[in-house]
Amino acid sequence: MYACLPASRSAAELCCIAIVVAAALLGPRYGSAADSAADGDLTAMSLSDLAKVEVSSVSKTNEVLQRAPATIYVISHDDIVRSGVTSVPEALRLAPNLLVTQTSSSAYVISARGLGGNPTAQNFSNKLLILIDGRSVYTPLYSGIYADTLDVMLEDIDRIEVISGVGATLWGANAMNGVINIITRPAYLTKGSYVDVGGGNQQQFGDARYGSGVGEDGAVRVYGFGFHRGAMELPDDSGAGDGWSKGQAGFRSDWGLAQDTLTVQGDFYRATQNVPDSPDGTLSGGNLLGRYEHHDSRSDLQVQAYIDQNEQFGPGGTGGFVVHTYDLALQDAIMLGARNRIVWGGGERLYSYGITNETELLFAPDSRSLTLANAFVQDTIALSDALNAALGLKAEDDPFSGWTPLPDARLSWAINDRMTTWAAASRGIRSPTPFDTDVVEKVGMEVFLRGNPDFHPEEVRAFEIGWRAQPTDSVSFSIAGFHDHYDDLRTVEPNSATTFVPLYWGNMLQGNTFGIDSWASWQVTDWWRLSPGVTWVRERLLFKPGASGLLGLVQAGDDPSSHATLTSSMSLPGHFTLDAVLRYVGALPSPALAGYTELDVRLGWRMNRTVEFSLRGANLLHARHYELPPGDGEQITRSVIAEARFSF
Amino acid sequence: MNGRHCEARLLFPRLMLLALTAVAGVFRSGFAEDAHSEDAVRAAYLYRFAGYVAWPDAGAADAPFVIDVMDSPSMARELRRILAAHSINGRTAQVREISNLQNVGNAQILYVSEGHAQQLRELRPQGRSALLLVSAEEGGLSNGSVINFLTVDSNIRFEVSLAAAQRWGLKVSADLLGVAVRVQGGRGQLG
Repeated sequence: MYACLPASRSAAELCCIAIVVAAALLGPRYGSAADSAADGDLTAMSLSDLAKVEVSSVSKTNEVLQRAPATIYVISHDDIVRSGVTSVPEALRLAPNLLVTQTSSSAYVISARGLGGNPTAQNFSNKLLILIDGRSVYTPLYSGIYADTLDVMLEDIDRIEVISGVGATLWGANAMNGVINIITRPAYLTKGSYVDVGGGNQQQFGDARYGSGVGEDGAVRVYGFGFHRGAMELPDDSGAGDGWSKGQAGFRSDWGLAQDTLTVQGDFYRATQNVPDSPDGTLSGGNLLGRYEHHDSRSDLQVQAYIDQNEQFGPGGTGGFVVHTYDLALQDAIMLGARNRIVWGGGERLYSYGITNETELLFAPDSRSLTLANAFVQDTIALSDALNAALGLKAEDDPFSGWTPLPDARLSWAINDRMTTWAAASRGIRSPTPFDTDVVEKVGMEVFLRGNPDFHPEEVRAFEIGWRAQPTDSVSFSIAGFHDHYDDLRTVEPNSATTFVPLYWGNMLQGNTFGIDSWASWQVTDWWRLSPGVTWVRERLLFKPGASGLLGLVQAGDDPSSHATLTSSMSLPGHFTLDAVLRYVGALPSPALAGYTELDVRLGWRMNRTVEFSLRGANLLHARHYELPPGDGEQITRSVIAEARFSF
Repeated sequence: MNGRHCEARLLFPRLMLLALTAVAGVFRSGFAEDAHSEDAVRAAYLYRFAGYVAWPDAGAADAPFVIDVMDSPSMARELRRILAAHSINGRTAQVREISNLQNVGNAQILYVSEGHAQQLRELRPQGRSALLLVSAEEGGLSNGSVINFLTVDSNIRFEVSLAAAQRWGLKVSADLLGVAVRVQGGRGQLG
């Protein structure tokens, strides 16, 4: 028997594999369905061939949103895929009405319409509601957002709706300055396999999903992904040691009977967070959600329940928390006569948490079970074909301040098919949280700051007018002006006239913000779209009589007065796509940070129906830059990623 | 900032600029070799659907096959282009544009464009000839539509409600259901 040379055998094998792979990849050429019909005659195609025809993604305003009496920006699946973003916070940057700034490898600050917090004053961004498929994911501990818990399989996102302004009446608690609604695709739209792998100087990742029909009425998908994101940099350009890794798996199943649908989905994750010169911190959790919908000619009923666990611990298990959430909600929409559509419902949420206190940052008590209940009704009245009014009222019972009314009134006028104006007045609150009522901060043995059991909800009375139009087939825009009046914003107050400490949280700040949320879309040619967006905010706050004035007015938000984006999307021949997002964020007042401009660019090439390669650069204009002042944030570094996506 | 950083700082934008220029220059002629508009594809589907759906009251063989299109001039235009050269089930076919549901006549297919599916709730089969209701928005089936178009990635797909088909006395063939991304009511109910 002749001995085979291992090296030559492996070379031959490699060659064979390469040929097979090349044949497999090149075989199902993209666009073959269209080619099979003479001159692209669609009428000659079978139904299954029509399903493969590529449609030009011409910009258009979603008709339903075109008439919505609110400032809504929708980030589509296509926007997410084409931009090449690798995380939800990065995807949120595509919405011009949100300000997203990165502070470390895993942390982002997300805000809308100003008052985005000021970490230096321990006031963290806390006025947004974020939902993932109807599950609330802002933390009840301080009403903020842990960006490292937001991960979703990006390929499976259908869209992200971003509503700026008060959205409490229909959307839920904490929708004081905005709502972010992340909606994934139903399982019947994600059949088949999907795999992607990517890597670059700042991160490495892999994702996989498999979806299939189940029986006659159902579909299910399972997915898993893992990533490592590298450390950002300290002021001396050395590594900040804050890299982190995460693994997540989950499923979604959708079952459709004659007039009913049932969705069951869940996610489970675990992450480790590097901490310089210490053991890793950990983050883990999971959730399970069920939603039943019944639709008939009279009503749209929805019942939803979920449980969610989130736990985070510092190095070696020191300092951390576990939060369990149980939520039940019901909503029904009925037509009352021909002109009134009534949406009513209610819900109850139970938070149960335990905190592992640190020596200098503790909560007393360190565990609680809190309930948050609500009931709401909204009537949308068709005053005429063009004029619609929506009157809503939600009563919310939060554990610290009791029942409070959250009214909302909106009027929209469809001037014609291409133009809508609206006006709205509403009230929103940020309920007190354990961080407001229970926190104890120490310096050495001395208590430096104490939570306030009598802390009031922070309140906003919001007014907005907007105008949305599509003057030509290729141009559309939306512009909304807002005036928000805030009261009872959180301040730091001295213990008494004679003893300064312990400080406590007060509600001694009030004032007004004014601003504009605006964006447009211009389909320059059928292969090129330009989308500018600008948000402008002016804050006019003042301390109430008797306030200490400690930490100044800027504690409510170290906010830029403007931020803007310009997105360019090109579909080029040969199935190339070129997408770029230029973003500008104005200067921060105190602590001060100069304004900056950054650029993300992605070049994608879809080789065929199965394979797409891409190259993306993020934060290309600077090797490193700050998005929050040094001390509050680290230096964010330029990054490049190569990625391959396979759908089969 | 040291020299290495400066070089890197300049190199990256230059490279990107170069890449952009090259791409823009080479492909200035544009793209969209085989991409069709969404309405062109939907219109082709509508034309095709008629071959996979059986209406109980077929009507006189010489009566035209009528498709009512609500509030979508571009859809009506695409359909007219197709129907100028093709008949449906051996009958001449015509397109009527309507702006509200009161004007739905004795059509075989009613297409309501995005944003209008909710109005389908007002349509009852009683006292009407069978009508294939087709919509093009999320939740279309919940509003009573029989076939609802969805845009998935860059393809136009559709979902079918067998409950709605039964309500209107329509029989939908298994071949059509086989292509649907979802069949509400189960394929097993098919006669």
